[in-house]
Amino acid sequence: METVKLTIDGVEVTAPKGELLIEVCEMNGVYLPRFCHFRGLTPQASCRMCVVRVDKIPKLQTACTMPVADGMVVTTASDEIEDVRSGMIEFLLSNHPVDCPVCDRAGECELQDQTFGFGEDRTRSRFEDKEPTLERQISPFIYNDPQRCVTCKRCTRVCEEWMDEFAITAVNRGSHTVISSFGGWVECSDCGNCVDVCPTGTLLHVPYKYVARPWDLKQTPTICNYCSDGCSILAGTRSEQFIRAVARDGRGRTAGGINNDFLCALGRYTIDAVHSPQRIDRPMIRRGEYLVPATWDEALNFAASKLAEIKNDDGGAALGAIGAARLLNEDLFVLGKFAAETLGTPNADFYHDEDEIDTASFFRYGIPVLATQEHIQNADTIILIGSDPNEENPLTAFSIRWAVRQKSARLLMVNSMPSRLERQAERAIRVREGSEGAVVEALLAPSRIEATAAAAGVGVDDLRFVRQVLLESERVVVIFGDELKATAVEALALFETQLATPSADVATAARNAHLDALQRQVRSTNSTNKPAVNENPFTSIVAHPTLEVGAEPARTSTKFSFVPLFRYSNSLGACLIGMDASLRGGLSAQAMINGSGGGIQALYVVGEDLLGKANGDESHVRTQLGKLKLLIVQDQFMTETAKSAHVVFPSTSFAESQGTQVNNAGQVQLVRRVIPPVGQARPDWMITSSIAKLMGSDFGYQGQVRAIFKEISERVNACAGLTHNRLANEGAIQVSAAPPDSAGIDRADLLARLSAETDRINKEIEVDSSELTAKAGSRLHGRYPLQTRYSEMLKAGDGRESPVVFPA
Amino acid sequence: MYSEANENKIDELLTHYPVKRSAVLPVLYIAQEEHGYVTDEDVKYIARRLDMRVNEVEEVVTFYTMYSRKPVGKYKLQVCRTISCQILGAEAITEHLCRKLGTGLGETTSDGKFTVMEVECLGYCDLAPVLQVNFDYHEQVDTARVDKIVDELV
Ligand code: SF4
Ligand code: SF4
Ligand code: SF4
Ligand code: FES
Ligand code: FES
Repeated sequence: METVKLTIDGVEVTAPKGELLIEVCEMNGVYLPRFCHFRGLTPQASCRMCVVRVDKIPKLQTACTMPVADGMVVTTASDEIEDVRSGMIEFLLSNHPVDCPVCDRAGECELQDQTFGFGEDRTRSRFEDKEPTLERQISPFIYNDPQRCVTCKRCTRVCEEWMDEFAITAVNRGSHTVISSFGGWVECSDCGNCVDVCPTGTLLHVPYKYVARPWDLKQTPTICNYCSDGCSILAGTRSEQFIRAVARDGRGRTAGGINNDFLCALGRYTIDAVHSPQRIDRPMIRRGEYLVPATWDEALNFAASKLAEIKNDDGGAALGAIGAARLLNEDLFVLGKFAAETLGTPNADFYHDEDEIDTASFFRYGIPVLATQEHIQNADTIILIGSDPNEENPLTAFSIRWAVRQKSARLLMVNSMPSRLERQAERAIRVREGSEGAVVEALLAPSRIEATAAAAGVGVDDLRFVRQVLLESERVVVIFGDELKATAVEALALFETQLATPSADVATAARNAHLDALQRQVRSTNSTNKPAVNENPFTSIVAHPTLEVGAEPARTSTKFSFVPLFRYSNSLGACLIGMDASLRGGLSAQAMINGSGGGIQALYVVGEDLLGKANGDESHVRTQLGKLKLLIVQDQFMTETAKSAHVVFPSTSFAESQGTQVNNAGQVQLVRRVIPPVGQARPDWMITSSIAKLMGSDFGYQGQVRAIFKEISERVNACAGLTHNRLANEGAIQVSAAPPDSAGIDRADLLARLSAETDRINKEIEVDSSELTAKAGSRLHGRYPLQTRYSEMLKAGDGRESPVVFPA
Repeated sequence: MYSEANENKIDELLTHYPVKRSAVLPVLYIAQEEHGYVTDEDVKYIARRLDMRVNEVEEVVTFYTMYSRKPVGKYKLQVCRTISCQILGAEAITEHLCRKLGTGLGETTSDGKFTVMEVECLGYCDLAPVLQVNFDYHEQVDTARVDKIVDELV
């Protein structure tokens, strides 16, 4: 990385070339006051708080817009500068209510801090109030007190640049400027990021409003348990209540995760489920028609003796264990060990069905190179096949938008459904439902391009174009979801050899041509003559190196890297630690259900609602479960499956237990316990090992979750060398890839299987060419609607029925 | 949405700029000419027509005082309230207008003819105080001149 030398307040420092002066000052311990500057947003330079004097430039300069240059001499504090800063604060306070005692931001308000640090304690003028004058709720999750606004426009920039929503905007003019929106009611992704970045108490989280004072909150970093992106959250708790989740609090403390300052609605607003009245708070045993409360000892003994009895009568193979893909590694590992060592059955699986990415196919030839969010943000080209991260993996969607907008990455999309990300795409191809695999074939076998285009219902030119872009790019991230089926997923292993870059020159030439095209688009004079690339002028060509301060952009060692968008927070971990039936030679979760009453006599189900997941097949699953001699369920909620059980154990949520999970980039992260167990709940691994002990196998963990992880790190290669301590200190650690040896792949056979699938595609299905709606409905993974404080607020807000669901 | 002539005019305007959105100001005038003010429907239509988000149009409409988002009188009497005009008696003129027409600031007379408003600097500070009536400027006004201007319009 190129560096420059400059002098800040008489001290010579070295900094990455092109970095903004305000960030360089901060890296060197000089904090400059700011309202409008925010790492990860385009510069705005409207608050003038960050002014500094740069030698040879006649006027004071805003450090938030000034890239550092060699030989620069900067003064950050002087009487002149202090005057300007306190003047700006005085100006801001001239129509600010200063109602800190009743303001929720007080204590973590940047206006308070800046006034204290750089302002005066009084203002000599008083401007008229802003219009509108009254505080009001503007969305189910956002509360707005316009008088407190300092018009830094962080919120609107976040909404445009991070979320591509444009849901809020600054209306009116001058001292009347307030944040509002067309029609007054905001319909958006409800990400809450605008609230998090607001330096004042103007925007507030509705669910957190008047709930706690920041200084009363205990803040613990942990990992979101919702989608497979694995964001870090700062969990704010008070009196054993999980009150809020933020990526960064008002004092700039962050959870230090892979998500920078980003969080989505799911991660932020579903935490409340932890305290839902629907939680199971004690063990229960079936007595005839009813499940009646029991003590832990009774329930554990009941489960252990029944399991032993069935094992004795029908043999270990008649027993099965199913764990949810959102459980922590420790829980799943102990479950797998229990199945193998105590129950003596190969039948242990994490629940995943044929609608999900086929893990066995993806890992057939080894562990492919997995792209982290940073890799996505720095990719030359991103191809998205069969998924809508905007709805399912919001952080990934954020990184894609970031890459396109800030780094001029090229985005190609192959989807059967509309996705809002199409707005960022250089080419978005809508294919016939179920034909995503045909596109993979077209990329690998150019001779089949006509047949595949016909099968997918797209133009041959589109496919040629996509192939061409992939060929000429240097670093490509392939992001795929559920819609890509097994054989096509397996075939991704061929990308690296089949789509290698011809030469560095070709890649550079292509990159330059792309940048030229973007520039032409900005300059092009006739709007009716639609440019080849996306017309949205906001896909700007300026690169602002603000997200990764002073770091070399992350690049993978291989040309292709992958992001499998798994459905659950720990799907990948479940595979890695071997909870996959296909690796154990046992029955899959579905096969266990189907075998119930036959080969399977008892099921031990941890955290999974088999009936809720039945997908239209509910009565079959119910009948099957009814045939079991024993159904043990461990869960947080009284799901339909739990209701049919013989014995139910209350288990802890991610907020009440410590452990690890692996996101879709293969990053192992530490989930911390932020509150004590709710009710009598116990961690899943603890319940399982208690039953094991009663059945005669003592796993020797002595109640220590770390001991389980130690065993995992010894037994699972991908986790070798990891400990909870290391994860606590270093944050996310990516498991190392063991990419396939291409010689080991039977190319001809794989392509033949792929062709056969392409030829089977039903060409009657119509391609969905519907336009993008302003807001696509969220397709949440969890299907277990919960009544929580948040869900009630949503209903009160805009009549929306409880979308707060738990990833059950 | 608009008369054929105006729709054609919009088509024509779009050819003047590199990107469609740049035509937002003249197109807003057309909307205002058709409906007297910029309606919700106008905002949505213009956003669609110019490939903008509704909020981007809203932000422009509410910024400029020449556009109204509420029904206004046939004549907008806009008194400059910025410093030069203020020093030279703008406030008295505003008050006088309100009294004379029997309306409050920002309100419209019952016959729908006049709306009295305060606006920021009109760029004629050397000839302050300034009153703007729709597209016409009247410089160095006093109450007598204001009376004359208004009486001619009644
Ligand atoms: S919650 Fe998110 S999408 Fe909604 S207005 Fe705020 S930033 Fe925009
Ligand atoms: S609402 Fe907050 S973030 Fe938005 S402009 Fe006002 S002070 Fe800034
Ligand atoms: S993007 Fe995924 S991991 Fe991140 S907060 Fe949202 S649900 Fe949680
Ligand atoms: S932080 Fe530089 S002008 Fe606002
Ligand atoms: S102050 Fe009234 S025109 Fe400038």
